[in-house]
Amino acid sequence: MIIDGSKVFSNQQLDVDYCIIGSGAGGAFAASLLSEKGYRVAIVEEGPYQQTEEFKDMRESRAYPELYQELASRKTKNKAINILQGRNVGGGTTVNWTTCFRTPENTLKYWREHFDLPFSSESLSKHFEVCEKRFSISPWDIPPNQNNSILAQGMSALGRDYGAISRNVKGCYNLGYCGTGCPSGAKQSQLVTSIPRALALGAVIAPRWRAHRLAHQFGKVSRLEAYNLPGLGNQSGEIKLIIKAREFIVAAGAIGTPALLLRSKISDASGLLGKRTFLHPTVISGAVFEDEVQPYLGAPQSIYSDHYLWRDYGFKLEVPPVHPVLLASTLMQKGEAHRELMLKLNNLQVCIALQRDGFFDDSLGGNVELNSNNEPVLDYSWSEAMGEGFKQALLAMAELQFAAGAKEVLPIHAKAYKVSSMEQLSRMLQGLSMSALSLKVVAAHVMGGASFGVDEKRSVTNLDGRVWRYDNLSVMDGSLFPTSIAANPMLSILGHTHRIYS
Amino acid sequence: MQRRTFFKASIALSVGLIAWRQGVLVPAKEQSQKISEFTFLEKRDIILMTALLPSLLPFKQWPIEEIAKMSQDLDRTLSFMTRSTQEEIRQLFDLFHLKPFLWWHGVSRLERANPVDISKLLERMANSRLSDFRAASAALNELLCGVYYASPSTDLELSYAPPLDLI
Repeated sequence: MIIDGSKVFSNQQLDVDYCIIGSGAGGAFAASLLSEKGYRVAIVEEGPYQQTEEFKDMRESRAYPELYQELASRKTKNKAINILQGRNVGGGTTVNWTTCFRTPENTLKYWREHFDLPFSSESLSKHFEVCEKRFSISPWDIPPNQNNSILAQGMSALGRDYGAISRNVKGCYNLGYCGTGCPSGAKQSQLVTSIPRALALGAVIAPRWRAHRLAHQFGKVSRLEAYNLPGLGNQSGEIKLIIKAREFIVAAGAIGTPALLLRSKISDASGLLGKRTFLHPTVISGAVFEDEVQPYLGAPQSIYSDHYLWRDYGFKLEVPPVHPVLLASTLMQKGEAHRELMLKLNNLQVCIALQRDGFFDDSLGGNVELNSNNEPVLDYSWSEAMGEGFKQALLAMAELQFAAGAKEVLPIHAKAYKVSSMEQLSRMLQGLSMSALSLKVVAAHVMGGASFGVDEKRSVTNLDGRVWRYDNLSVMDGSLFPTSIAANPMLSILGHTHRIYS
Repeated sequence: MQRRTFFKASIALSVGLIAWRQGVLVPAKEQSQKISEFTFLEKRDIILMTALLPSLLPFKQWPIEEIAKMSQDLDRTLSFMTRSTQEEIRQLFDLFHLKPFLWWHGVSRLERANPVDISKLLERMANSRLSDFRAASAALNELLCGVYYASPSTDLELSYAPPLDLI
């Protein structure tokens, strides 16, 4: 059953076993696992329930307003970081670029040493194996597109390591429009896997409802109050949905989850609720090539490099799909200079460096706060040392781009200009500030803010995501991670969901 | 007694007139700025668009029809934002309607500003020591360029292969 909040005219009420808030990797997968066990499940989702058929136009102008938070331009409090976050049935999995990594062993080792978390590659592998099978995650055998090939060529020319990315696709047409919603249904997102499975088993899905508050008393949550989102806009209406349940699972993403718990005044002895929110802050380097790159065609991400990942303020190298709106809103140049770069779209290759945040004393992440409208705001800033990491990343990306034959390289920075050699680039970067708003920093992976742990004074939930001191309230999304993952987090979320709810 | 009432009424009227001229009577002022077709943009924002577009997107002519179309697209885009973001964008647009702000940045009147003046203003904002101004300058560029290139009519200019027709 579907109760679409944009189409209702009266208050609604449901009584189920499990109420799940959010339908991304954690929420939807948990819903299908619990439905398989025979529980009555309701899933509440702020975004719309759109089907593959509606993605066939492959247009950014349709996808960003409908499928992303804040039209794919959600920002941190100081406006220095753009956050790409899904907001639809399927969540981030509907619009991500299909990149799948298991949680790196180095991350798990850090968690064991600093947070006493008992996870290892070995202990989690059975869960990852099930997820890989269930969501068709496997190495991508088709040759990479030119955008990705250049990353491989550059690293190969420099004698540095790189690898192939596994993707969650089945019969992929290799089009390149994963970010606007898969138009062929090949991407094995939660939208086409867990959601239909849960629906077939009797689950209720309630899209276009904004979860407002969990009512609770004496450590027990009694109901969720949500308000409808009429039409296509992003403002709450006045029609209410009340869900009474035996168990509540919050899986609204690492900004939405802490925000709902804060709005609901959930008690938190650790003081960590909404704190230590990590982003993999990402810096960007563009390069102009003689030959066409067409960076918008073909599987968006198929090559990566972890060569620099485990050094201090290390970073993972990947490439993004470059479509016009994404490019136009990323470039920091204005007027004619902006236009000149836009006109080079076909010959443009773009690298991104995702910084590993949360692993150092001065990398404490951001804080999720509520503003005067009770909407979440992420306050995130970075240290000088992390800024130095950004500079190293811009150098590393330019180096590989030149090694692969780039004519010109442009770090995406307000004061940068195109250069044609590494010497010029090094000189230019020396004089550039890496402070907030000086350079373009983006993020697509929000993690932390309600971390799991073994001690209620140092974590928000126990190892199973159950909020300390609450009988029937759990978290099941990227909020649980105590640092960033140091890899795209979807498979990590799926793995832990399977560990907890299978 | 009558004289006293008349005196009081005169003072009230004068204060009212002064307040109105200063834009203190906000509800009345806002009422007059509404455009029925738009959910966010107001009449004075069209003046802002007329000033900004030739500076941020200088490679094309901006006749009134094009400005109207762009304003329509922008208004639709903004309608998808959350209340908080809309409030911030309103503050950003209103900044350009503050005369002291314009004067400070060397622009006497928005209506008469040429693209060079506006480019200089945006440049000064981008280089400001105040992070809010730097953020505002970047946000305007991002917003208007994003809206412009979201139109399929720009595909050809960019040689962006339009998406395939999938059956």
